[in-house]
Amino acid sequence: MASISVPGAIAGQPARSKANYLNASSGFLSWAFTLDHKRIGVMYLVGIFTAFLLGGLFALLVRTELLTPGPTITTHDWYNRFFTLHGAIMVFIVIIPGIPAALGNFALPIMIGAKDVAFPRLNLASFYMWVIGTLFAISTLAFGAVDTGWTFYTPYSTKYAFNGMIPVVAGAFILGFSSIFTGLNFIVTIHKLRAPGMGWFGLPLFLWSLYATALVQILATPVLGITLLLLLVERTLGVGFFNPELGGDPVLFQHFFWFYSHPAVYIMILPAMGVMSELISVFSHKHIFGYKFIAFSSVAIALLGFLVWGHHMFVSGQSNLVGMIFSAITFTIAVPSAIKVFNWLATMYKGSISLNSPMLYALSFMWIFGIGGLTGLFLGTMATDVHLHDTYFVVAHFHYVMAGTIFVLFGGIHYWWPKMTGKMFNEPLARLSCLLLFVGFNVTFFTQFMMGSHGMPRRYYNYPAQFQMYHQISSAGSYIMGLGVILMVGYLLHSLARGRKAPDNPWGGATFEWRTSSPPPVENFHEQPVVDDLYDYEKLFWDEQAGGYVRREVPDGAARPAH
Amino acid sequence: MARDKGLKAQRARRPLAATSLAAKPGIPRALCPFIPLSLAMLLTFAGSVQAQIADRVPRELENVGIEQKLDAQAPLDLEFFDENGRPTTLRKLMDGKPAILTLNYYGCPTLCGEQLNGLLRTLKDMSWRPGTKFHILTVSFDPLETATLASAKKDAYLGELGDPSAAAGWHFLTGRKPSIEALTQAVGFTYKWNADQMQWAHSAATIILTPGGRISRYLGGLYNDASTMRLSLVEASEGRIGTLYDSLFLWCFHYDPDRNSYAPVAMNIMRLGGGVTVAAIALGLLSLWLFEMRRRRMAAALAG
Ligand code: HEM
Ligand SMILES: [Cu+2]
Repeated sequence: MASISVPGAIAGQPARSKANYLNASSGFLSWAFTLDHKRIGVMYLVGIFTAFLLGGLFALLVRTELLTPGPTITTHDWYNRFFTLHGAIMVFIVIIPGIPAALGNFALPIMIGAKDVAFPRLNLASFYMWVIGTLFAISTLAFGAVDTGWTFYTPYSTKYAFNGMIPVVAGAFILGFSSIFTGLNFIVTIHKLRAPGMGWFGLPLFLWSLYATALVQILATPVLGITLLLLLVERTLGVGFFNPELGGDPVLFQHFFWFYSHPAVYIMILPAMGVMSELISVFSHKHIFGYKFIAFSSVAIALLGFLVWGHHMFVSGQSNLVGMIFSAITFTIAVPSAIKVFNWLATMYKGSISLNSPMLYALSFMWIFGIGGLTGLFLGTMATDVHLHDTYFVVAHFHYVMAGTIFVLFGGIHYWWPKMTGKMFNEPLARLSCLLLFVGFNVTFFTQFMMGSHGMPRRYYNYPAQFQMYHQISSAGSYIMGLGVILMVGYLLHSLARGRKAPDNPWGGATFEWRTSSPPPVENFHEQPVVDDLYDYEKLFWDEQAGGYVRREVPDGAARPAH
Repeated sequence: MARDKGLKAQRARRPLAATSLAAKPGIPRALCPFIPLSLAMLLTFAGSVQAQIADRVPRELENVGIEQKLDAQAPLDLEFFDENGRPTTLRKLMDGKPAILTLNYYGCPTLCGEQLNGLLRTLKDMSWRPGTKFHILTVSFDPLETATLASAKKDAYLGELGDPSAAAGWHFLTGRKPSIEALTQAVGFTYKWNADQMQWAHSAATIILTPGGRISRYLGGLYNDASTMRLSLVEASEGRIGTLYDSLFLWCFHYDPDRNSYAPVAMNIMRLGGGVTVAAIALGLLSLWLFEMRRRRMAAALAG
């Protein structure tokens, strides 16, 4: 490229990149009332990350309490509140909206070449509903908090639990609406606003997963909403829907709850799998393998996810036959999940892999999700579940699955960070932090598998001395993770102030967001990008001067220079 | 038992059918499969939950001798005796108001005492007093018991309630064998003399009568909370007692007397919600789909 070095400008990035969505307008109000999906995405990210820190703090309190049997730092009442708040915050406030609302909001319209989502006002409204729901949920700390666990099982929640029940349930209800509206917005956006020429099979895989997620969100969340309303009615007006003393059926609550909450696990995992497909392909610099299989497996997972809720209720008195059927369907979900993993592996095979921090997060997820998935088979099998039910084995399993998706959230944050902020973070520190999280995670939760299979029940404040060693190792692991998170917050904030300016395409991605400036202009693009194969990396070359990748036609016979 | 299993198997087999559908990749443009599929999912869900509810009729209740005869007419004109030994009828005592009928015997060493204590607890939690809006008829089904015994019981319970005004509303009756048999038969209450234990074998039910003497509800259990009792009475009163709020509330949360449970009501609310959601999504997706087809046809027309 015969580029002339202009002082202050980077090759391939002429002066046009001055105005962007971050500096186009300023002041608190310009953010508070923004209709720009990118700003809304960033606000979600800030909010969700803050909530994650709070949820993490509660996790550390729980783990600290468990350092010794009996009282360590708090009372059993507060212990119950800690793990309830930890679980409720992580599930309803962090992971469920995490990837779709924060990363999806930012990336989705750009990835289809649109200016914004279909209903920008609805988008802002769902953000504020998230805020209000979160405030409700956290305000419970002032009303005696909640000690039911995040599942709110009746009749404990309707009859005995502390008064925080009402705000927390109201909060979860509002968060549900936020989730439905986001899903609706995404579906319509993907349908209506794709760039001319972009067919369904031209969609980036992340968007396939967001589409499938949105379907689940819309179909399952109303069930949770109605369930929570019934719970409130029972608690405040004394109508016995679930309390057997009042002519209700407590198992019915479990059915309703898990009919939402199992699909909710897929609301958490599907978007993560979508991000994975992007990360794996971009950092292997190789065309994604089995595009259609990955796309359809998202939809298959979404639909199968509705049929397995009963595996949470093997010991609730349902008949063996029903249990066996739920067990069998549960196993079938492993198939589409495995399809995805094998396609990622096939993509990496013979790729030229860069072990940048987003890729490290992606690889961590493969490991973690692998363990989570395999241990799920123990729990999906009735015979073993009866032994493992409500032990730490379950706690370890769902952290490997649910908290594992946090790794993808982090991977995604690192991946899109340069695009969002226009700044590069400190890569060596990012790798160190990923390592700390990975090691800490496995130390924390692998020990819990062992504890659980030896019979340590979950949610217990006290335990026999024989478990102390396990608990202490587990707590040590959680402190290592805490360190990793603090380090991450540190270098990310530092990059905002001091980071190197990000090139348009630091990683070599081929999707549309890498064809606009970093950060993107308000309208997302300077000129409409041309639709082609979004997983074709043949035209991307590392450009020393730009400090990133640029698109160029391949000169005849020239090999693609490796980076 | 065997029947229940069969029922469940039948219902639970549905998910498998949906599974094979879901695993088959289709054309993504044609979103139609989602609609029947989501319907199928909701139906499966409803079906299998329903199966479990039906399965949960407590076994103990099956052999305890109360056959619910909802809406049957209780004979109100039989002769019974009040605490003073004066002959009277249920109709006279009810005075055109709904009534709570309990069948007990005063010498009962176990269940009856528990049941009446439960009723007492409910009364203490209620703002209404017997006599003003409703009456309580406690009838001994032991023909050998006398008014003296009944009157002692009455004194004990009213003393415990601490409200002498309730004396006009809670009646402790005794009767002769024909009256007792006619009444118990009409309300489906069966009991037996157990000669070994020298006790009556019987069960406990709290029966709510409409002012006209029809059976509006059986409340199971030894204790019912005040709001259930209040709403049962409002329901039985055919609009004659209770506030507008009570009636609205009943309209939304109608207790299912056949199953003695709100659970099927919850199920119906969920079904309604599910139906509305699926309909809304189907409509939304369909219009999007049509819109897109039109766009494509127009683009094709423009292209040539
Ligand atoms: C960051 C490190 C984390 C640590 C050290 C941690 C630790 C813990 C601990 C000790 C418990 C209590 C287990 C019990 O006694 O049953 C717990 C419960 C739970 N955690 Fe985490 N956790 C972490 C992250 C997460 C994340 C990211 C999620 C997101 C989904 C999550 C979701 C839950 C849930 C749902 C519960 C169950 C709460 C309940 O029983 O009500 N955790 N966690
Ligand atoms: Cu599940």
